[in-house]
Amino acid sequence: MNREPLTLVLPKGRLFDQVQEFFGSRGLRFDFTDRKLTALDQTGTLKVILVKNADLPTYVHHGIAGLGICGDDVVYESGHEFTHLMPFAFGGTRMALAARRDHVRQEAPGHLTIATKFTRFTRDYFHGLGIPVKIIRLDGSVELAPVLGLAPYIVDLVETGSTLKANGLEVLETLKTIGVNLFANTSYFKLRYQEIGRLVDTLKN
Amino acid sequence: MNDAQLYKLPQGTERLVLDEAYRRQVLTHRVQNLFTSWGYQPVQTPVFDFYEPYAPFLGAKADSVYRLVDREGDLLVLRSDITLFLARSMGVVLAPGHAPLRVCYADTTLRHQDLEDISANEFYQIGAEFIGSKAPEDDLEVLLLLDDILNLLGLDEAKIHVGSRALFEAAFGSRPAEERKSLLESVSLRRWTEVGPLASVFSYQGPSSGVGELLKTLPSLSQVLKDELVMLAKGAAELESLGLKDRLRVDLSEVGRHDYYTGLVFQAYQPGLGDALATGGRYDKLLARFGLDSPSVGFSLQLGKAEHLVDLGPLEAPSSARRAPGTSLAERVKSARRLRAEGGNATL
Repeated sequence: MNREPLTLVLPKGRLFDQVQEFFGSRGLRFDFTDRKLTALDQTGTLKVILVKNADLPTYVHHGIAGLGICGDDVVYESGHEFTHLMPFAFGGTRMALAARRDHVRQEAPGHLTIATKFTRFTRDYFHGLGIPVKIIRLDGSVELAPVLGLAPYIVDLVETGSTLKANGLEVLETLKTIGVNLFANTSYFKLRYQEIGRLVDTLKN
Repeated sequence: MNDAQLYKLPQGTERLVLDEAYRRQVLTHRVQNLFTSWGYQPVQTPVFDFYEPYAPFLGAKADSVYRLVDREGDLLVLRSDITLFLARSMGVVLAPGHAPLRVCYADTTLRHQDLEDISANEFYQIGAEFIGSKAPEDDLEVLLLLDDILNLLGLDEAKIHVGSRALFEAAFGSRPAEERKSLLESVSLRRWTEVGPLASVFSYQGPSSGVGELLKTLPSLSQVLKDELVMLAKGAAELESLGLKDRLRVDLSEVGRHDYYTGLVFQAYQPGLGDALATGGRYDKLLARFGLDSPSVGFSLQLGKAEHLVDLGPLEAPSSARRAPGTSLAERVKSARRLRAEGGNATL
C-alpha cells in the first residue's frame, strides 16, 4: 500500500479560499506559510500544491499532481481529459456572450468577431452551431474589447454581471453553466482508487 | 540552414544518442529474448503505408497522424499505430485457416504531439499479438506475458486493470452511435451521473471475488451481462491463482480506447507515469477489415516511457571502454582480444 499522501493542485485566488474552507469543514485543514506553494494537511492525507489556474490541468495531465480542483472552463481550455470525481456546490459561474448595451449588429449574418480568453470553448461552441467565428485572444480585461472597438462581442465568465454593467455591456446569452469539480489524472486514479475513494467519501459527508 | 532548425526537432520525433541509445538497445534485447522464450516471432511493419485502409480506424487520432503524398499521387500515412499496421501486414501475409501465430515487435510510432507536451520518448513501443487465438485461455496468455515483461523491467508496483468491451457492448451496443460514443467516454472517465443505473456495474474495481458479490446485489441484471461478468471474473481468478494477485485488478470502467476492441481489454499503470504504460485487448474483427478473418489478442507497451524507471544493473557500456594496454598496435590488438574474450570492452 502506498503511504505517500495524495497530491492535490489548487488554483491560487478566490476559489482557493472556498476550497480551503470546505476541506476544513470536513476535517482536512491546510495552511500555506512563508509564501510556500506546498502544504500538508493536518491528517497527512493530502499534499496540497498551489498553481496558477490555467496551469492546473497541465500538472494533473502529466501526473505531477494526482488530483486537481478547478472550473469546467479551465479543463475545457486545456483539452485534457480526466477522471471525474465530484462536483462542488461553490464557485459556480456561467460562460456568456456579451456586447455593448447599445450595440448594433454590423457584421454579415452568420459571422461573429469575438474577443475572449476562452478560445477553444468559443470556437467549439459556435462551430457546433454552424456559425463561423473570428476569435481575438485576450488574457484579461476582456470587457474593454467592445468598449475600445477591438471586437463587438466577448465571451467571458460572468458571475454578478457588475463588471459588464460598469463598462456599458450586457449579457446577450448564457452559453454554458460552469461548475467546479474535483478530478484526477486517470492513471493516478487507477493506481490509488481506494485512497481517493475514501477522500471523496470524506468530502461528500 | 537557420539556427532554429539546427537545435529544434520536429514535433513527434525524438533523438537518442550514446549511452541512452545503448540502454535502449540492451533493454530491447532483453525484452526480445523474453518474447523468444514465449515463442513469439518478430515482425517489422512498414514505416509508411497507404492512408485509405487506416482512415476508418483513426478516429480522433486522425488529427495527429502525418500524411504525405508519394510520386504517384497516392496519399500515405506514417506509422502512428503499430496494431493497425500489423493487422494490415498480417492480413496480407497469412491465409484463411492459418495456424495460430504469435508475433512481437519493437518499433517507433510517428505522430504529432502538442508543443506543451512534455511526455517525450513516447514513440518507442514493444508489443505482442496472438493471431488466430480464440480460447479465453489465450487472453490469459497475453496477460501472463505482459506480467512477465513488467517483472523483467522490475516494475513491481505496476498494476494491470482488466475490463471488457464486450460487457459495454452488451449493455449499450443497441444505442445510437453518438450516444454510444458519449457513454463510452463517460464510463472510461467515470462520470457516473451520465451512465444511468448501470453505473453500479461499471464502477466496480477490485479483485475477481468482488464480481460475485456484485452479481448478488444486482439480481435484475440481464443474462448476457451476467455471462460477460462471470467470464471476466473466471479469467481474472485464474490469473490471481497463477501469481498475479497483486498485479491484477478487475476494473469495469476499462472499456478500451479503440473501437476495434471486441472482448477483454486492459491497461497497465505505473506510478510516476501520467498515462497508461501498456494497452491491449481482444480484437476479433480487426484483421477481417484487412482481408483476413482471424481473431486476435495482444498489447503494446510504451517502452520509451518506462526506460528511465528501469534498473538495468551493471553494464559494460561502450562509453566505459578503455584503451587496451600495449606499446604497439600488435600488443594492443592482442590485449584487447583477451579483454573482449573475458566479456570486457577495449579500444585500440
